[in-house]
Amino acid sequence: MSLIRLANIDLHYSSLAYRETSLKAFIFRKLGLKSQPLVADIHALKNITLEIGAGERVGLIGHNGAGKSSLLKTIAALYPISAGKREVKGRVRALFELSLGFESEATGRENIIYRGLLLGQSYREIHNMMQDIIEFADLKHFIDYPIKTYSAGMLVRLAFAISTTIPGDLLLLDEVIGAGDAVFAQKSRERIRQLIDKSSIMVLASHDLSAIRNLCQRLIVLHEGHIIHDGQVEAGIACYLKHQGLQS
Amino acid sequence: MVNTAYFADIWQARYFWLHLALADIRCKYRRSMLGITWAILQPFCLTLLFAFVMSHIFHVPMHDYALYIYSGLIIWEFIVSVIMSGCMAFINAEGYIKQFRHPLLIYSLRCTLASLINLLFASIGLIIWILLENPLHAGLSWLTLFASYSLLLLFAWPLASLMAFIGVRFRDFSQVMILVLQAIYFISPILFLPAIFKANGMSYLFSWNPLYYLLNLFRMPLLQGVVPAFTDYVIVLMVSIALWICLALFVRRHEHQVIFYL
Repeated sequence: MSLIRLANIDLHYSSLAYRETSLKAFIFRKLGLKSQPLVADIHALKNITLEIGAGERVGLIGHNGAGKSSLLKTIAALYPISAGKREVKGRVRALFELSLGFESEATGRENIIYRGLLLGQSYREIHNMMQDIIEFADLKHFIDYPIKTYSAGMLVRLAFAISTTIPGDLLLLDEVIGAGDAVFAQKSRERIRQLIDKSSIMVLASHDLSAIRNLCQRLIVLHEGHIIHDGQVEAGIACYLKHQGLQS
Repeated sequence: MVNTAYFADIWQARYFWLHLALADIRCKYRRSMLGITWAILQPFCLTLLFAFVMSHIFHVPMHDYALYIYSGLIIWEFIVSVIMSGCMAFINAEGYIKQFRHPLLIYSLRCTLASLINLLFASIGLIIWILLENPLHAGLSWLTLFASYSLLLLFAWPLASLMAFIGVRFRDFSQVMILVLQAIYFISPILFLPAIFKANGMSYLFSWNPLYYLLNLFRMPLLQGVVPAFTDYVIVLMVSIALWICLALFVRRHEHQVIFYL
């Protein structure tokens, strides 16, 4: 049974990461030769509490920097939380930045193997899924070309096909649905519905209101690291638009 | 103390890191006619050059000396490759680290294994050479080589991992390591015989150098047909354990911070 339960989560981005990236800077500071203004840690998520149960399709919306990606990556346990409790049950299938995790010199077919192995499958399991993935991605002869020749839309199709064919329980999508064309959008919508039937969870972060209306039955609106709405889609969109209006 | 769940996760991901390591090897020798034989040819040519010059300077017979140099060079190249690729291990794995939560040590294992495979090929060259030149050295003592290679992996993996943790935090660290490695190269018995250090009153240079003992694990059986000394094993094992303890501290404190540095 898949489940996401976050209780009073805080997430800080360590400022050390961009304060000094070289040994030189580190030593100079230790020797007191150079004083740098102290940059504070970024408080990306503030006291987030939410629970998502099996079969839910949740949209995530908010303007740039509101914490959508941070929240997705926190659910995927990629980021260390600074406070609160994170409980995530089920295997995570994430689609964040698309070019990431692909080997651009390798062919589409080889990349299916890479991704599959990365997701913990064995060679045999991937081999069995290969035809399925290729058919769904519908890349035709391009499947045997290096993926550096692919367009953004083709990459999305390949990544989406792999991530949804390999069995998983939590599908986390970050702004990727929009890149495919209309036909693929239709196919992916059907695919997502099938996944939901298998009682998986989907969380989709997007600015695309129509995608959210089409795919989600619950909407979370983020604003400066806070949840300001969690519930009905239409009410959430109204809340989001109102905040956008206030911003500009 | 030892977190078995962590190693279980590494084992779970075995298909992945094995595939990456093999892909590294394929990629390195792709588009070259001689392919993996470069792993043998490159140190071999270097050895001929060094042996020719050195045997004239130090008046030692070139035959024995060439094998000494070749064995030193291939182990040294392995260490260099482990350290340099270790520095880049997390940086190069950015795409994977940012999307999937695997134990980070699999990325340093990947480059350690790739270097080890390269070394194994180079070792085949060494073994063929010895069999052609001095087959009498082949014997039961060669069985200890299994232990030697295993110990080498036990030593190199935490080394690469430590480099990876420091390298991702300080991006100029690999530049520093190039300097450090050059220095170590000259004070280690890679090209020079220990006797040369001894004759010049610098025996401390090898008696305090873990590399000397590490090299013995290979040179003793291969070049002299004898089992390595007990102290060789003890010292290499102790250095490896020290590296693992250091690494455990790093993993505990920094494993989850690494994603911020990428």
